[in-house]
Amino acid sequence: MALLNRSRPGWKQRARVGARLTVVMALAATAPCALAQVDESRVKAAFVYNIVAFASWSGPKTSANLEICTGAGGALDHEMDALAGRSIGQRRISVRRGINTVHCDVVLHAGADDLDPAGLAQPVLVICDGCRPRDGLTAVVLVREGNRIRFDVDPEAAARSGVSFSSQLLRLARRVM
Amino acid sequence: MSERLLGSANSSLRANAAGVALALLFAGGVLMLLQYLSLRGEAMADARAQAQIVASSSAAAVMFRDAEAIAETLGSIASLDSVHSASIRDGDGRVLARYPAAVAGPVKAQVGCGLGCETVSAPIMVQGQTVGAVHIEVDMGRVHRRLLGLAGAFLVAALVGFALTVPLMKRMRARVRAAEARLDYLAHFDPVTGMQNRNAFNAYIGMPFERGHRQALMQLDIDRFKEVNDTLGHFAGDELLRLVADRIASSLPPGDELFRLGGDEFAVVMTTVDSAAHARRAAEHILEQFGAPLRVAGQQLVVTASAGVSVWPDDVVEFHELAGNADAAMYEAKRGGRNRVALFEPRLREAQVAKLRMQADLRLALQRSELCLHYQPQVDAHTGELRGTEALLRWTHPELGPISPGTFIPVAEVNVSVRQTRDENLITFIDSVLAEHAFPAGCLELEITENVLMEEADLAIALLARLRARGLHLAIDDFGTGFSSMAYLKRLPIDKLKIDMTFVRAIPGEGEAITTAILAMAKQLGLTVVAEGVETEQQHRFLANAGCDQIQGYRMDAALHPDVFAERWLAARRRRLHPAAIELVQSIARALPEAGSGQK
Repeated sequence: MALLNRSRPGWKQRARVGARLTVVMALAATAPCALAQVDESRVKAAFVYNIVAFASWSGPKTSANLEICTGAGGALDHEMDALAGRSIGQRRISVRRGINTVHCDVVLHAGADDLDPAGLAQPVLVICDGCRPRDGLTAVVLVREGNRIRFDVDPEAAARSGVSFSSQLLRLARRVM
Repeated sequence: MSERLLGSANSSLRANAAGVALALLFAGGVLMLLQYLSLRGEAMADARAQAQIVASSSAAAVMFRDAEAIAETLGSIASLDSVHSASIRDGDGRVLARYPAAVAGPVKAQVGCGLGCETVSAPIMVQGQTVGAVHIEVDMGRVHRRLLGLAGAFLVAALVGFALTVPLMKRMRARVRAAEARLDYLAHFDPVTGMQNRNAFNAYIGMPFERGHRQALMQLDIDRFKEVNDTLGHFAGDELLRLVADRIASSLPPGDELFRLGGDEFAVVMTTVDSAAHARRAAEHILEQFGAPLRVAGQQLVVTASAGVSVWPDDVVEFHELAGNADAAMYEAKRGGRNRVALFEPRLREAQVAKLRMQADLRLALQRSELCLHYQPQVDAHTGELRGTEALLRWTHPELGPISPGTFIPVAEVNVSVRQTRDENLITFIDSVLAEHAFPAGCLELEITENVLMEEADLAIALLARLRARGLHLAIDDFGTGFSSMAYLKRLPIDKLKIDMTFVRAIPGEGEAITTAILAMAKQLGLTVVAEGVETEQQHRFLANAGCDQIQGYRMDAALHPDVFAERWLAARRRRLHPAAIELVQSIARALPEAGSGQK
């Protein structure tokens, strides 16, 4: 993924990467309807990154790695792979395929029927790409609105999963359920 | 002088006013600077805090590039009055939103906003990473306006203060100027006569300027001024001095300068004389001003004066040397009978020099024991019996031989002198001498010259009273030459009068009347009288018949060496003299075996 630098950058470089990401998101927000699938996935991956940046996991201790388990499928999974190696705060992102894994900090799925709540170790942030119904587990839903990517937030579901969001994030959400 | 003082005062006032103005300006400048820094600091701190708030609340919006949310967050900056403009930029410096919104848009980042603005920035951080920045341009116009307001208020206050201070300074300067003028006047003018004083005189004659033509100095002394002071009082004396000064001043040609040197002594610098004779005529013209009586304290006084004149460059090389010459000439005029002018002559200087030399030689004579005492008997005018003896100083110079008492006595002041009347230790000294020789005070008689009594009356009377309280006898020497009045004599604690020999020598003749008058007066006052200088039988007989108690002079004996005196006068009359007196004379005789006998 061209937006993310896979080497270990300094904070300035990271800031620049973050800034590029947001630029892409802005482009995505203003892009024509015929948005290329790959660009949409890239923007969604950036959204996931940004949402994670404004989320907090409960519990006394967090590991050095931030495990993102992705089962969104297709181009989004591929874009998510590009986030591996990046950092959010002091935590380094690692990306794994498959959503029913015990040690996930973030689970990204696309309305999977096989998501087993019992199999997820909490706290965990569950993000769904394009889900419609509330499953009581998914905290953030990425949605396409016209030519923009937006997101809805279910704080209660997040809280049940041991995750909380910055008020800034909530303010940016299309809908807070 | 007053113009000089006025000019100096004005320039001083201007300098003070300028100084105050500068001080106010400086203080105002410093105050404004401090105020500016304070106001600017407050505005910047407010802006910085606001930038931090916007930065922390816009992080998510920046991350998600939510333009609406970014603009909304930036809009909160409106609460800060001093914001000129603000922007949120991403990590590459691109503007994401602007405030005010009218100028929002994807324009290039600006750097600074001119002199009227200051810029503050705050980074937008997410999880320790900088994702953008908030820039606020603070409009310093408000600070400047407040500062201008303060400056205006300060300026008004300073102007009011200055306007109040200047008259105050003016008044203070006027007071200082008046005090300076007064001090200057007192330093150079005599408050009694309004004429220039000795300081001014010294400054004038010491001035090193080129005088060019011939000039003369006249020093003038009012004759018998002390009598006026003593008789009519000091106020009358001052009045007399004023009148005299006015008369002298009115007789001077333009250019001449009049000074009061002190007491009754005046000096006139004559700047328009062309010869010594001319100077004499000018001085005589001044003395002629005293011809008409002066009205003082309700009385018409006829006053005369004696003047001495010296001419530069005829008499001296340096102008200031005139003072000594004119003074010597003035005393010559007094010696010559007063009410006259004397021109300086070199012999007067020589006399002065001789007097100085005499004083030095006398000091040496004391060290070398060249002085000795001789004794002249004073006897009863009727019986010829010894009543006492006067101790007389004699001086035998190793080179010049016997020095005439008339030469050195005026220098040595053997009688109780003016200086001794001021000497607090005199009484102690006399006590110690009496104790040393076990000499009864009642056997010692001290003589005080009438002139001393006239000059220092109060001091002399106090001294005499203290001496008499010790049992000493007191006599007035040279009586008849000092113009004592009957009323004056009554105040004096004295026992004896000594008629001056000038009157005795005038017997027979005009001295008889004076002597008779003195004897009558003394009898009235209960005083013993001794006539000195009795040389002839005729004089002796007249005095005895007139009621004189004692006589002294060659008629009886000369002043004798102690040995001779003891042998001639004491051996036969031992019983009539106090043993201590005989012992004293004999002890002196033993102490001075080498001194030869001499006669007065």
